[in-house]
Amino acid sequence: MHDKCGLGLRTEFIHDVYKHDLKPSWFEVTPENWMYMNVKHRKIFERIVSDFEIVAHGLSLSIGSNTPLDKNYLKDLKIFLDDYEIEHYSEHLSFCSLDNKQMYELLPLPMTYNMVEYISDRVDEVQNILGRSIALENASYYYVPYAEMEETDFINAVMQKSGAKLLLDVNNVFVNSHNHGFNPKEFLDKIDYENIAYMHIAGHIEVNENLYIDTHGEAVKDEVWDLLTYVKNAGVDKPILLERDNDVPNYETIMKEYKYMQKIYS
Amino acid sequence: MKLEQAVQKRFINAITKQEELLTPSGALQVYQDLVYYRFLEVFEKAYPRFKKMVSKEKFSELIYKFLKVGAKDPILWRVSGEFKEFLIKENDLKIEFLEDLLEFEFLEVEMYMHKYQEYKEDIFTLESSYTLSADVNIRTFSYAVHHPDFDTNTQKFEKGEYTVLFYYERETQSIVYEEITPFISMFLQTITREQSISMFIDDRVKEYGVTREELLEVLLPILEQFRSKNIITTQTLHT
Repeated sequence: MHDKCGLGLRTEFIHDVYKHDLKPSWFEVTPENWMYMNVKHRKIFERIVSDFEIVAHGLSLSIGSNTPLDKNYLKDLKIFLDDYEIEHYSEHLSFCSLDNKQMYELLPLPMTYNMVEYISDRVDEVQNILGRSIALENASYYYVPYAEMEETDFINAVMQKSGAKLLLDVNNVFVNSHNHGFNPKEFLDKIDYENIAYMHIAGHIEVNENLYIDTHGEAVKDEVWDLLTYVKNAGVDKPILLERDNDVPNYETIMKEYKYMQKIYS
Repeated sequence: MKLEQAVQKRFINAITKQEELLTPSGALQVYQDLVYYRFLEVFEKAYPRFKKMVSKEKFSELIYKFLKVGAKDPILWRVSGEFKEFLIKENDLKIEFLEDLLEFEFLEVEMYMHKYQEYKEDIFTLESSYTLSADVNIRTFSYAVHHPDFDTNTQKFEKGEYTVLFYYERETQSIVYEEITPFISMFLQTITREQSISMFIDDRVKEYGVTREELLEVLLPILEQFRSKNIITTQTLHT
C-alpha cells in the first residue's frame, strides 16, 4: 500500500491533472464509475491509471445484504481490477441492497454477533472471487437499526473475524460522534489501529445543531483535521486520502486542500 | 440472521415509504432524501426531455413508484434503463410518444458509456467493401423525438416514420443523431464485406432503374462522410 497522501479521482477535474505540477502520490477510483466509463474520459483515465498508483473503492458490493453476492458484478469488477492492475480494493461496512432491490446508498447494518459472522463469510467469498484482500470502511450513519454491541466492538470484531483491513474514515467518526453523542477521540482509542489499511478524510454539512450529514461536498472542517492529527499522534502511520464527491471544485482548489493534508500528515 | 434481515427489510421499506418504522426516527427522512435524490439525479440526467414534459410532482411520484418495484442493477447509470422499462409498462402517463422518447434518451446515455473501437482514418473508395460499424445505431421512431424542438412543440410534429442514425463524433466527443432516409438506412444495413460498394451500387441501379451517375451523385458525398466518421467501417483494428 502507498505510503503518502492520495486523492479521489473525479471526472470534474480529471482533464486538469496533467495541466498542473502538483499531483497526488496516488489516486482512488470508484470502480462502478469506471467499469463502464463515459467515452469523454476514457483516454485520460487510462493515462492516469498507467502513470499513478491506484486504489479501487467500491460502492455496490453490499457486504451486509441478505442477497447472495452478485457474481456478474464481481466478475466485471475483477476484470476491471485485473485490466488496470489495481491491487488494492476497499468497500463499506454497510449494505445498499436487500432482496435484490438496490438503494445506491450506504445503509447502516444491525450490529449483531450474527452479522459479524455473516460478513466474515462474505468477505472470504469476495476475496476468493477477486483474488485480492479487501478493506472495509466504517460507515457514516444517521440511524441505528439494531445493536447488540458498541460500534467499535462491531468494527473490531468484523476485522478480527474476517481478516479484512479497516479503511478508517475520520470524517465518518466525527459526523457519527456528533449525531449520536459520543466522544470521537474515545471512539478512536477503542479502534484496533493495527487493522488500518488506509484512511479517508472528507467534508460534511452541518444541517442543524443535531444533524451533520456526510456529504463529501464541502472542504474538510477544522474539527476533522484535528481528529486526523489526533490519530497521527496516536502513532497511526498509514496512507490517507482526500475525498470529494459533490460540488467538486477545480483541480487547483482541491490540490490546495490536498497540500494542507500533506502538511498535517507529514 | 432472521432478526437482522427483518430489521433491514423494515428499514428499506420505511425508506421507500412502504412501511413505518417500529421506533419512529427523525433520521428516516435523511435516508428517504438521500435515496430519493440519488435516483432523481440519475433520471434527470438520463431523461431531460421527458422531465420537462411532466410536472415536478409527477416525476417525483413516478420515482417513488419505481422505488417500490425496486432497482436491480448494481451499476447506477444503468438503472435509467430499468426506469424506462418501468415507465413504459406502467403507462399511466398516457403519452403516446413515451416509448420513443425514452428509447431515444436512454440510447444517448448508453452510447456515451460505450467502449468505441479505435480506427485508422482512410479515404473512401468505391472499390472497397464496408459494413455498418458496430459502434453506431439506427432506430426508427413513430414520433420526431430526436428533433430539437420536439419537447417544446410536440404538436408541430406528425406521427410518421423517422429513421435516425446515432454515432459518436470523435472531434466533438459527443453523440450525434441525424435523421436519414429509408434508402440510406437500407443501404447502411445491407452493405456487406463480401461486395464492394461499386458492385452494391450496380445492383441498386438495376433495382431502381436509375443511372449509376444519378445514384453516385446522391450517395458519394454521404458515403465519404460516413467513412470519415467511421459510420461505415472496413475492418476492426482492435477493441
